[in-house]
Amino acid sequence: MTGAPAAMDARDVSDPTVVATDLSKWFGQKVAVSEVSCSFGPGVTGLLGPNGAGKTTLLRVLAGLLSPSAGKATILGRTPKRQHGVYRHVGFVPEDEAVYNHMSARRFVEWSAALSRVDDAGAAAQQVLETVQLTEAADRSLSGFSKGMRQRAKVAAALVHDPTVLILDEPLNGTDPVQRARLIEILVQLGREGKTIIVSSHVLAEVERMATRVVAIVNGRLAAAGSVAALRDAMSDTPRLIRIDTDRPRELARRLLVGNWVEAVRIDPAGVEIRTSDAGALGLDIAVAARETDSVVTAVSAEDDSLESVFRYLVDQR
Amino acid sequence: MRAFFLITRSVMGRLLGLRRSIGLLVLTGSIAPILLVLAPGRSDDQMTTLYNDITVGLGVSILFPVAALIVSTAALGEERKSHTLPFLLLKPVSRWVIALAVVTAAALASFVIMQAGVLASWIAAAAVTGDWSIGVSTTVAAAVQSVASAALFVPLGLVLGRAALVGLGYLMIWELILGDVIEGIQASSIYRIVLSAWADVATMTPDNLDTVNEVLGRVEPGLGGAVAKTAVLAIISVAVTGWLLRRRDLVSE
Repeated sequence: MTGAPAAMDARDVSDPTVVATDLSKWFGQKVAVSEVSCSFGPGVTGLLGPNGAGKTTLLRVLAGLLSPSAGKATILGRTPKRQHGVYRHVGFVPEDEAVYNHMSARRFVEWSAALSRVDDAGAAAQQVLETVQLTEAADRSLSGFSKGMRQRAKVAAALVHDPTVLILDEPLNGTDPVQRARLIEILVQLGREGKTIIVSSHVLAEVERMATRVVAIVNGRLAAAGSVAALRDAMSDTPRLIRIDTDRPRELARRLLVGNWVEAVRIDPAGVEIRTSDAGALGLDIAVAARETDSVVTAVSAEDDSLESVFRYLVDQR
Repeated sequence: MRAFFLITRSVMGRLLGLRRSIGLLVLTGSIAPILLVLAPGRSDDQMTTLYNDITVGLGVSILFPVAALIVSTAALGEERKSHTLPFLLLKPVSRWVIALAVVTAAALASFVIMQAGVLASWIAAAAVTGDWSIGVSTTVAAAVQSVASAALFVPLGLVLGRAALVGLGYLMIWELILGDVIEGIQASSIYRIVLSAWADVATMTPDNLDTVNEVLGRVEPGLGGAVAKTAVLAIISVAVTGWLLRRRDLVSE
């Protein structure tokens, strides 16, 4: 795993179902994905990266829509580009908004089910349309659907044959907050049931809500892989932002500045934010400083422990 | 077999969308009003000659191939352009079955569009001549044209972004201009294959016979030969389309 924080292993997945080995994909002179090796197993894995990082290309190569220029991609031990039988166990939601406009949502989902060799396509379609809450609009033409409804129809079509592996490229695009929450709930549930869910998204907070594991791609290369917490812990050399809620922020800040691990301080009426190079040492000093300054500390939180800060760090490192 | 029918039906449904169908029906249906305008005062024989002249000179040579070209290049080309191809490709279905189903759907959709125009001109001509078998030859031509065009233009639509334009150039330059002057390419010309099938079935007047023989050149009229050539073309097309679906990257980065 070139350049990724050392504590993380992109192939450290028990029971991997989707495996990329030294995977590269280039289009003419442009390298979209470069020597990516990583594995995906049961549970939800978020695929992160800035626009143009190569996420969509990687997902398309993994799904068998594109041939790798070098390396190998397998799903359940088979090469999807050549062994099409594996699609019986794979669901894919493409990023593009396009759907079959000449079909109704129900027909589209039934058609997908029947082609995936589901015995009772009608019943399976009805069930999955209920899951994505599209039953009321199911018999309307997809051409009249909003973007969010199209996304849900695509998700329904990808789920209808109960796949073991589900690959979703920006599935939450265009959905309203309620639909988004519902889709996240569905994906989390499927992950808990042991399905392999690979989901790319640029809405980092949502990935954080659904993914137990993250794979980050920057400039076509694998930047990091692991849990959000593990990624954050691996970045021990980067300053962290700690917020302390207190009744005496000015006094507490003055006292904490004595420690040489404090790099910057910002005070507001409700507390103090400290950028530190050593969060552990700061944590130990907070209690002492509060006692010495007679301050009441009501909360201590790491402001930048989010996926976004992890991701920004990875991009900056590249 | 189930996958074949499912794909054929869905591709046909898309190809016969309302807007495209109306546009192409106007195109293929334009022969009937021309016949009706020119019919008054003509004898039965003159009407038969007129029907054959217009059917061959306008229908078989230009209108039918253009209609079939538009339908056939859209069969997979449209899926590619509108980014719906993953829905078809990421299914546990053999690429050969997909190819066969799409070529079949393109041929059937082309035939439906052409035959609507054929029926209109058939009725118009038969109403004047009283010969209700007059349109059989044009139906045969439409059927051969549908399969041959689907065979040629479905794979073209898959690999080229402007397949309809390239196909139009092929029809005009290769089939109509070069085919007329270079005898060597007449045997493999779709226009002449279709015309040879038509000529084998049609009731022609001596005037029609001269015109048709001039266009056919070295190609002998014969339905069997035309069907055999078209079948070979269709088999090659399914093989090529299947290979393209299996080997080529058909979605963008």
